[in-house]
Amino acid sequence: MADAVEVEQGCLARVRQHFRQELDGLRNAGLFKEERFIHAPQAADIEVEFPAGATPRQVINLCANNYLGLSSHPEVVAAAHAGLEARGYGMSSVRFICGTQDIHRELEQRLTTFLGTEDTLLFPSCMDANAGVFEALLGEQDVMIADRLVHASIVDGMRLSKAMQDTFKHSDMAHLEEKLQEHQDKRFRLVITDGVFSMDGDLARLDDIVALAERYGAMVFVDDSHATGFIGKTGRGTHEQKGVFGKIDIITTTLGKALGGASGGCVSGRAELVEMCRQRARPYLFSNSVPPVIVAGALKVLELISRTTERRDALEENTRYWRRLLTEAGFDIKPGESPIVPVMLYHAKLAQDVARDLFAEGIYVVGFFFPVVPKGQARIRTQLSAAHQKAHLDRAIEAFVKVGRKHDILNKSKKAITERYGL
Amino acid sequence: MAGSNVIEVTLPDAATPTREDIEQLEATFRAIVDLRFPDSRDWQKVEEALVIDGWTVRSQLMWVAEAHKGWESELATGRTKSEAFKQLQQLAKIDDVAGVP
Repeated sequence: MADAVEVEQGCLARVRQHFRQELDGLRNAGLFKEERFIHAPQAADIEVEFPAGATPRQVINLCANNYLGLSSHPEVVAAAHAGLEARGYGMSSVRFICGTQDIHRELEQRLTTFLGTEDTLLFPSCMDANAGVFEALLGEQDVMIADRLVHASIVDGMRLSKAMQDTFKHSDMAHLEEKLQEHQDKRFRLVITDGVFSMDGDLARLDDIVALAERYGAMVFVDDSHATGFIGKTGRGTHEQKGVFGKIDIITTTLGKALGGASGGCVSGRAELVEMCRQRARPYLFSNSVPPVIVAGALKVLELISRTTERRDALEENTRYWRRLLTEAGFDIKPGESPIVPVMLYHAKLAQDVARDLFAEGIYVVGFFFPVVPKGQARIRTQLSAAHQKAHLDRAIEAFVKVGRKHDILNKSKKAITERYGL
Repeated sequence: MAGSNVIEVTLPDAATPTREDIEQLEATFRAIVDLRFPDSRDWQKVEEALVIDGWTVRSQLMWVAEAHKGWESELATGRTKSEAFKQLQQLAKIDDVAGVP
């Protein structure tokens, strides 16, 4: 007995030692993720405790996916409360046993109408939707051809599918065409892309992708998580913006960003494909239903954004204003039209230092660097919200200019920054 | 000869095999031996059981290509070496960049 205990202790000691070393490696590489504790509802102004134990401080939030400012909207909160009272806290079941309420189906139908598709299936998250959809629909006779900058959850989902995996260079239509030609022998071809790419904020060339897909007999899949609710004239998404509304075979998107920001996601698209996901997608089959409280909140969100485009219009205006402020101040930003506005710093440590100094100035942003973004492409990703007032952005640009001067990065080219700081 | 069930093959004097050559010769002979003198027929029982369960089963010799980097690893198979490497490249390429939420 004593021997068994010693062996177990020896094994545990080795395990601990191994993972301590791994964690030290992450710290040394600057890849260790630390949580910052927020002492308030999600909003444009928040109180953040960082580092842990520090007195919480008021900061302007420029890093949330709260694009429409609905995460703490009083009507959404009230609807969630009402949903909690009317339908309870949890379902204690997966959907197909006893976890589907009338409001789950209602939300699916409302999403279908909003996205301009034929049917929709809710998942616990868009991560889960992406993890389940490819395995459910494709087999070894098929091929998935993905843009090389698609979201990590799509990569994971592709890995779970038996279909052949292939990629095309980011937004390179000539390369995509080559790949479609190469895979004409496959049963089904699925072109996979994000609608808005989360690192650069650029939009997929969906009009060109759909045209190529039609020419070569392929289906089109779009993860529109960073677009649903605000991209396009009425906020339906990238397919609306690019003039291919109704022509996308499969859309996945999230309730965890613009649509209230709680959690939950969906697969929406051709009726037979969605139905097959209902029968086969493992994250749907083996995870609990989206909680009623979130469903009720999301229904209210859809009602609000279907009633008026006020919030997406405000977001668009804030985005234009913020891009102009940064450009005029001499920052190097990725051009585009989405509320994801990356401020390019190229050097990993510089990105971390600038983010830290901005936090000290009351601006909450995060620096991203390799392997999260490609080598030599370190940046601060700023994200706009309809909840921002001009005053927030004026205050933020003051801080950015102050910190930019400190690090001597204003009106400096990539070459000048990298010559000074390296890559 | 090293033993009754070990076959030694002398390479021509002019041959200067690389490590890859040796690996391929070994793999080729191993495949021939496994086809001609399998160490057991247990695989047939597995095959029969799977067929009874409704599976259509086939087996074939394939190339395996592997890549390792830190804690990451990729493995691909192909009927030809270039097919295996092509797939390996896709697997390694597909999450080159971790991305942001």
